[in-house]
Amino acid sequence: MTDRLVPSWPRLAVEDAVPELAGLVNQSALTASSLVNLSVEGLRFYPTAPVRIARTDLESLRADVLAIAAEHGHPHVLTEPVAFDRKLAVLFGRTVRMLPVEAADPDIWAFLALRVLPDVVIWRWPLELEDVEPIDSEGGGAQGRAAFALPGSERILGGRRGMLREAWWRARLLGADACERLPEADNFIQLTDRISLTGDARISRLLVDAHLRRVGGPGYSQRMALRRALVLVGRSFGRLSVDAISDEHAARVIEEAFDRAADETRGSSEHEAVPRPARVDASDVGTVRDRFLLAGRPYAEALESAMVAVSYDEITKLRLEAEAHIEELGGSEIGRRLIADLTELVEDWTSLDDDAKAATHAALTYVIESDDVRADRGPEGLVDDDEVVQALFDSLGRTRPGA
Amino acid sequence: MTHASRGFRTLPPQIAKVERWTVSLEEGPSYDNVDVAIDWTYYQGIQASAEVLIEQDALASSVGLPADAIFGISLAWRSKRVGLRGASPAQQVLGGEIAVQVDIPRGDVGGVMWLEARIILLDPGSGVSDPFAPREVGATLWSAEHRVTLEGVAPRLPIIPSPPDQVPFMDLHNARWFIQLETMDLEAPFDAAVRVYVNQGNESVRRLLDEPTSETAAALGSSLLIDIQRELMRAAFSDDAAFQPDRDYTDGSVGAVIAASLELFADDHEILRNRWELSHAELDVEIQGRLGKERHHD
Repeated sequence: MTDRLVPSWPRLAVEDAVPELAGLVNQSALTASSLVNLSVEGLRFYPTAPVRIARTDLESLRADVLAIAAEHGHPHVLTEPVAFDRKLAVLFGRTVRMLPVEAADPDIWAFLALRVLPDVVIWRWPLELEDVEPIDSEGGGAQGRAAFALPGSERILGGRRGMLREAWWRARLLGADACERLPEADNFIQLTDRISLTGDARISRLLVDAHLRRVGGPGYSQRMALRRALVLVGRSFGRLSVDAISDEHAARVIEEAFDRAADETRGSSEHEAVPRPARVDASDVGTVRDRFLLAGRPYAEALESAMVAVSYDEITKLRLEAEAHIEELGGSEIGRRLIADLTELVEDWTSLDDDAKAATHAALTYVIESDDVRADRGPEGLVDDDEVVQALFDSLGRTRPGA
Repeated sequence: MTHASRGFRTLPPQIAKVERWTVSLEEGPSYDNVDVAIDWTYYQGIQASAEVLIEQDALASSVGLPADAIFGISLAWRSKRVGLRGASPAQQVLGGEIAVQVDIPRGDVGGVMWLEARIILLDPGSGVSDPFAPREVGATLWSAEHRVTLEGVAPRLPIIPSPPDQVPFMDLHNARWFIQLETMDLEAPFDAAVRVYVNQGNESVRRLLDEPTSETAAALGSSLLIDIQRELMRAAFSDDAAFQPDRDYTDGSVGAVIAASLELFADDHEILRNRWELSHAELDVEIQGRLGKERHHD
């Protein structure tokens, strides 16, 4: 019954967040502290919430986060950012009492980032715009919208990649204990991105256990093996109701996937490159569809018409067609790489949502088209196709396996 | 999903049928086969259930399994908005009519919720001969989905159930509700400025909460709206009121709602103020008439 007492948190709507985000551009942690405003008067809460978060709770949360940040250099130079992120997730898991349905609301995280912890978010993810002086919080308009498009703004705001939202969800999906033990940021991203798997608490626990038990083991490539294992588990979800069978049987499915992934990726340390940061230059407030069309802007016209979520059978046929097309062109390295990358998404079909399926369908359709923006048979004819695939992975927040 | 995509034979769609999807809200109403659960709030858990008719005798032969194969049924839920999901543990299919249910914790869903009833394989039995028969425990052989919209885009009035021994009912044990309207900032969103505390110790209120679709609840709801209207008028005409009748308030703000409430009456603002101050009871009757929803109920 204690869920009844989980407080509702205030929302900061996008139109209010725009000028406040603009106010953070080129600010230091020291100057951004003047933007802290813990007042909740006049802000929206969930209408029928029995309890609303109090100002004293916000003060306490802020103090706790500042204490952790200070261990990592705040307000000066940031040290060990991954360790900071990990501690933040543990702290949020233990102290930020919020219903998941509220934690899925970007407006709540915008409030926390821009009103409660502006000096922490800007310290962790600086927002820098050349030739622009720091502007006050009244400076909305074009400059505010420009701030939205800045790399890093998606880390501050309340979208999927927002640092505070991500911290809370890491703890919620994986548990505080896993947040302390998972060895690197990529592990978190891999696991939390597969929310179609980790969104089920029991499956999430089994996945994390299976991974952590193998980390440090001889030849276990923690990044590549986890990635592969999640693809295999996702694929098994297409044919098995793993979520409905006993712990024993579910664990067996997952253990087999990890064993197979470990074998397939053993000794593949050459692939353990640090993932490239997402190149999407839009904030993360939009959908996968928005991000894909923005990241693949030069090709948006062709892509938009093919944005249709299709069945596994249809996408499999399309993938085979694309593979044949690439081979017909002479089977270049770039062509094979983009087919391999798209194949990973096709194999992971059941864990993609409709937006991701539609974007993948559009990318494959583009690859098959010979006379697209840059004719496939011409010199560097697949460069545009490769950029489309890159835009797809960026919009999904995933790293290309072949990168 | 087709046979080809799963790699094994699956059950034909007509082998089972969901007779009834039921969504029961914690401490609230139950709905059968609804597309929208209108009274759900974030703070209510949900018990979902499906009554499924199954041609039990045809299950094994339909997928090429021996007669001693065992099948199970499970009910899964998912919410794209929140990202969470879950499923009931599979229960064995015994008989042709089977009910399956799953509990969905408070706050784990929002927006649109999908329910999915599935028949799965629990044991392939002995002596499987069909090369395309399913063999893996958990193989999904049949499924049916139902979509329930949990929340729309319409604004909600913030209503907060409170115990009778707590603020604001400590000295008002018999009160049905207490309406709090913040008028310091008339540009603030209305739903952020108003809070309606309802007294959980009051029998009428309990009926309002427990049976929100009943006639009694409808009558009480009308009374509540009238009280809110009175509160809005008080905010417009009290001595320290900041409301300006000629000002164009932002849509959805407290000021805009006060202005809209005054538009119920044809009178000029000053005339209305005089009536509020001098013939309060008469105006009260007119409020009830204009809202036109006051009902009498035993």
